[in-house]
Amino acid sequence: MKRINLLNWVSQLKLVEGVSFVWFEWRRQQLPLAIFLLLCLNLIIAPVVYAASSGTLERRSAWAIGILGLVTLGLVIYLFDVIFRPERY
Amino acid sequence: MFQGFIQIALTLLIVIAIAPILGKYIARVFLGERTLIEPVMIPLERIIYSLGGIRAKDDMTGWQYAQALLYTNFVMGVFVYLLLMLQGILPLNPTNLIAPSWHLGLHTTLSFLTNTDQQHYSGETTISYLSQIAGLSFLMFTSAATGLAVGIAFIRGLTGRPLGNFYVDLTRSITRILLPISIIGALLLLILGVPQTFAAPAVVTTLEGVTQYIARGPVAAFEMIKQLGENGGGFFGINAAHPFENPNSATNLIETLAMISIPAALIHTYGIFANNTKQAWLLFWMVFTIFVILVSVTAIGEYQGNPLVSSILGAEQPNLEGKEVRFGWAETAFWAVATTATMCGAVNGMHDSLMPTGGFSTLLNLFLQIVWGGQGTGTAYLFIYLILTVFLTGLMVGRTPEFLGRKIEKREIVLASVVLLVHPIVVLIPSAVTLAFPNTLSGISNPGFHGISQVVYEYASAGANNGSGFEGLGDNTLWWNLSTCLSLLGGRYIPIIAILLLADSMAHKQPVPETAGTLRTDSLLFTGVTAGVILILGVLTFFPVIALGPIAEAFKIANGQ
Amino acid sequence: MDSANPDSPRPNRPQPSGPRSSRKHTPKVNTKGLYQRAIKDAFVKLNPRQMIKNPVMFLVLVGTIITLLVTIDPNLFGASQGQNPRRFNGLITVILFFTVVFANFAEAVAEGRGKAQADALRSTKSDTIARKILPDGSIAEVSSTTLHQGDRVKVIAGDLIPADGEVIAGVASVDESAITGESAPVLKETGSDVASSVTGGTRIISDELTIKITSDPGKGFIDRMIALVEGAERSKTPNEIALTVLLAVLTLVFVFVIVTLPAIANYANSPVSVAVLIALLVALIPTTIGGLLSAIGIAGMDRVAQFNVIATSGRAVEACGDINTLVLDKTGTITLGNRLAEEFIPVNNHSMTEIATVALAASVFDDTPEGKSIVRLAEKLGANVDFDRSKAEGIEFSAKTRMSGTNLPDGREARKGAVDAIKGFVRSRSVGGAHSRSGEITPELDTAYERVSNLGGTPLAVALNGNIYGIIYLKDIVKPGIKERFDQLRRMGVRTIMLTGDNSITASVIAGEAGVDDFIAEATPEDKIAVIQREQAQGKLVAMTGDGTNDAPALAQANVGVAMNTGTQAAKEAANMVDLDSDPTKLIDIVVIGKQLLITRGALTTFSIANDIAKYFAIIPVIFTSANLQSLNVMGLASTNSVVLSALIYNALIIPALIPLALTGVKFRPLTANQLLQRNILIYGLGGVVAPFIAIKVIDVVITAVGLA
Repeated sequence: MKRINLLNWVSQLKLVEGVSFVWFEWRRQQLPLAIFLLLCLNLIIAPVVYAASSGTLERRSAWAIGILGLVTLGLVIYLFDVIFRPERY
Repeated sequence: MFQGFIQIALTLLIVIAIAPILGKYIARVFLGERTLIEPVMIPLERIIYSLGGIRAKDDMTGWQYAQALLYTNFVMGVFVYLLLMLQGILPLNPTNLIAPSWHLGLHTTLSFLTNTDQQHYSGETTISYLSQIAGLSFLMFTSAATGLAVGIAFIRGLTGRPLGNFYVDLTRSITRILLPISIIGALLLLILGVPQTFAAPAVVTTLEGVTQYIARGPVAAFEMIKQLGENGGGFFGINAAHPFENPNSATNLIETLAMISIPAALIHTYGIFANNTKQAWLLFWMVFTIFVILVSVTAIGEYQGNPLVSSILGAEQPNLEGKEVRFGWAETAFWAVATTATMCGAVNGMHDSLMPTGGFSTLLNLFLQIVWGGQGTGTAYLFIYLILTVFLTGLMVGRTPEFLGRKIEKREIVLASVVLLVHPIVVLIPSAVTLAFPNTLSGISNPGFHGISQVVYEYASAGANNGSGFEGLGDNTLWWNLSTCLSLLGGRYIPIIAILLLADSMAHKQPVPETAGTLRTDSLLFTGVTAGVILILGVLTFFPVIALGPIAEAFKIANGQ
Repeated sequence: MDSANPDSPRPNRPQPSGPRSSRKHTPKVNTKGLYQRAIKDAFVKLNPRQMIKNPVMFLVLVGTIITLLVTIDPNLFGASQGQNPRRFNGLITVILFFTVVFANFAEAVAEGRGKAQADALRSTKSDTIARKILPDGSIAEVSSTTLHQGDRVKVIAGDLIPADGEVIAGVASVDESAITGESAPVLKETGSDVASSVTGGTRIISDELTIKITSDPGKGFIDRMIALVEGAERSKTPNEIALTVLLAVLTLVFVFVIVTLPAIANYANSPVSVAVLIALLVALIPTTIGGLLSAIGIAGMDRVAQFNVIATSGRAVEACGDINTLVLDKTGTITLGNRLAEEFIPVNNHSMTEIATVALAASVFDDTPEGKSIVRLAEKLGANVDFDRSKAEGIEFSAKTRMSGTNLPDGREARKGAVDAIKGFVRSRSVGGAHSRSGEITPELDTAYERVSNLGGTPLAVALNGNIYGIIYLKDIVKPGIKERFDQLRRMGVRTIMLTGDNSITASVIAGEAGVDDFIAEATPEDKIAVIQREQAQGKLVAMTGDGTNDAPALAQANVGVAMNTGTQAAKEAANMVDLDSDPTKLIDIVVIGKQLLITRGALTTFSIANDIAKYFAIIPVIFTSANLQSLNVMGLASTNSVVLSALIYNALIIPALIPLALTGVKFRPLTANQLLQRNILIYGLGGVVAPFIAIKVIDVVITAVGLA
């Protein structure tokens, strides 16, 4: 029982560490991390696109479209930020 | 032919005549001046206020006003949703109707709550009398009053007054404007043959010996507020095309006038608040001109009829498909444009069967939202466009743009932009998703370009809080009910909050005195420029879908396919 | 000047006049290599970190990257159609890339010109050795960049003044031509409001001064102006921010339109390729104004600098365009600083020659412009100096006696001065003397006095011993052309208020002559603040000029305060602009620049949006092939590819085509707002609708002819 708790505790610590690591890296090098997260998210999106196209798309194109969609989403968020906080730009 | 156009012209003349009178009356009501019905209403209002614990003198800030509005609407929504879901066990249900599906109930509630009245059901077979009266009729009054209150608060803010108190404005809208006119109108409809009864459907045996159930109910009262409040949700599935809702040309005229009168009058109300009747008339004529052009386009299209059909008949015949013969092409065309222009959404014919020109006009109305526009909100949108025009062109005279002496700055542009942004988002995105999965989601009955019109129309109608349907769409599905709910809510409350905050920030600005360097907004030139900006911003946003919908369809028909 | 009397004459102040352009003496700006540098900068600015500051162009840049990908692999987002998609996509990529480069180029040119301007300013600010006075009184040689506010330095003839400061000891002449372009040296001395402040970078050419430094390094006026014209520290003005929001909204709307288009187009069996979608997006978003917006702002500041005005922020320049009321001193602004003798009015039966002779006698030692003008007038009337100048004694004007004159060698006293002062003088000389008739103060004198006052002039009485000879009519000369300028201002909706120490009769005459809207007579400095506050309470924006220390509160109170460079440090600190030429009428020019700035932005925005109509009508009919919209192809354009390319080429080329307009600004005409709107809507609104139809058609014909598409 005690061991499991300990493990739990260790893994929690690791999680916190991981989160803080990602956070600090984010502050330091935004671009590479953004690209990394984009690709991660695309792991979910691309198969959906592939499935939705019901075989008319290559797997590669589905990936590309997924990324294109995410980039567009990023641009939309960026533009909203410009609208609500124009002083920053 | 002439008879049809004369009918349209006469109706328009009546609108021109009554709009300023009603506008003046509305202004008196909300400026707190004496009106004729004061003696009756003051005690009634006093009871309402004391029951609700409202002090009529408390002015609200924009955010307080918006909060009060949202809370009130939320409570009313929950109440009506429960009423609908429990109608099976509640009284006044002679046909023993059961509760609708949860998503249909949700859609119906939100649709009536947002003054949209989009219906994915047929009233006579889905909604009990109690739900019709206590639920939907109730919301028809309150949602119209909510819109009116927002419009008035916005006008107050623009003209530098405190926004007022939401509860008082809501109450007054009902007691002084909606209720009195509804009572008179309903009585007129009753006299002209619209039924008003709690009796169960009549059962008759036809000449062929078949038993037929003829649905009826408390229609007259329902019908009047449906038109007057820009609600548009029919008692029966086919709405005002049903002979019990709209039996003849006389009722048709009353109902048409009822839907145009308040939005048209509010422009004049603004003129009185701003003490600038000249500008009010200019704006009135601007909107009127756009309206007349759209009516003409539609009416001519319907009059010329479908060339494919005409070639079979060997003569040019008006397009009468999907129309009630008692109204003919002219009254139906006029109604179709009026109902989409005013965000009423009641129909007296099938919009699906209009010629592409009609599809174009009705869609354009839903996109612009200011050709009269919804109850209260339409007038507010009109002034949002005016503010954007002031900003664009105001820079060109070399000063920080100002409207009614109040400077248009970042905050105003952000809020006006929110209003401008919401519509494309709630219309285009769900339309695109639906059309991307035509087989699973759309339920389109008429594929091709017409299918695009059907889908876009449904979301535009929801987003603009219009409620009319292109019909022909299998829309009582989980997807349609829920996705249109998002358009309903987004299209209603986000702009309302933005409008109220905008009014608040305008109200608190120090007005700048007018000089020769001030751009006058009550000139013909400026009004013309405003019309240009409205058309450019509104049309450019939706040009691709209009091109792929009605315009492509028109060319297809013209090419004889 | 001492503002206690806003009317006191300003000696030794050149009053520029004549057409504006001749007064605009730009310090030599070096434009050599400007364009080469701008081209280089245009590419440097492609850095996403910089591009992200400009939402519209950032989107174009992202679009360029995506079209580059589909150029490399046309099948990236699904099977491509059409022949040779790679070539088509490649062409789109190139055009989009140049759209971004052109926009950057516009900004770079504006910045380059600003930098050149800044260099010219900076050349005045070389790092010099300053003699810093240490607390113990000893002098240490330090670099001028280490000087801080409150330090005291000593400068001697030939030195560059190390930083902005205030004279606390000494009298010296200073050459300020480096910043004002005015070659005559200026006298600087302690205590006097006018001449106690010195500007860093000017050169002392005689004597020595002790200066208290009033600004920290890099915070002086010149430093601020340099930062502003270079565009480095340019923060967006309120209107620019609001416009940025609007452009971002329009961009966002079109992003939604384009994002939703593929699904709808696919349903209609007219799939549209990603490259075409991006092309359509770029055509629709307001790239023209998006590309030129920052250039317009920088160029506006540059124009202010060219007028030799130092603005502390772009916000102040923009606010100038909104000014409703202009508060102006009479003297030096509306009238020439000096009054001139216009006429002699003899009284007490004296002849014209007699009064001329006495006036001449009283003025021979008077070196003020007034005195010289009296001498000129008297000599014109045939009067001569009938005594030995070297034996006569000049009596200077003093505030106490309020008269000046000459003690003649024969003991007679010739005096001229304020009428009541002379009356007193005459009485004092008459006591005990013979009661000659001419010594009496007759009603004739008062009549003459009133006549001159009613004409808006200043009456001076002339006396010799106990005899009053008459009145000299000193006329206030309204600056030539000032009435027209006030007329222009009125048409622009700007009200002018004149402040003067004169009595109300004189003031009203001058006011009428100059055409100001309102005047405050017998004004005190407190009145200035009161007037400004009164106007502001009505919601008006007020601009004023001033130079004295007691102007400082009013300058701070005004929405736009322009201090004269000759003014005190306190006035300069309180103002948001400093005029290096010390020309109060320049405020009018700054108002025009402010308005021009807004008009240019508004005009190009309108043009940009109006252009969309033509682009839509060009592109939409041809890209939905199955929809048979050919009849909408009103321009009769050749093919899908040629249409898309033409629209994009137009879109790209319009940016460099409009750079000159963005830099010089839309020409401002002093018309009413409605006339301006009518004019500008016609040019930029209607022009914006029509021009692209023609241009796109022409480009289409050309690129079809050369076989590009």
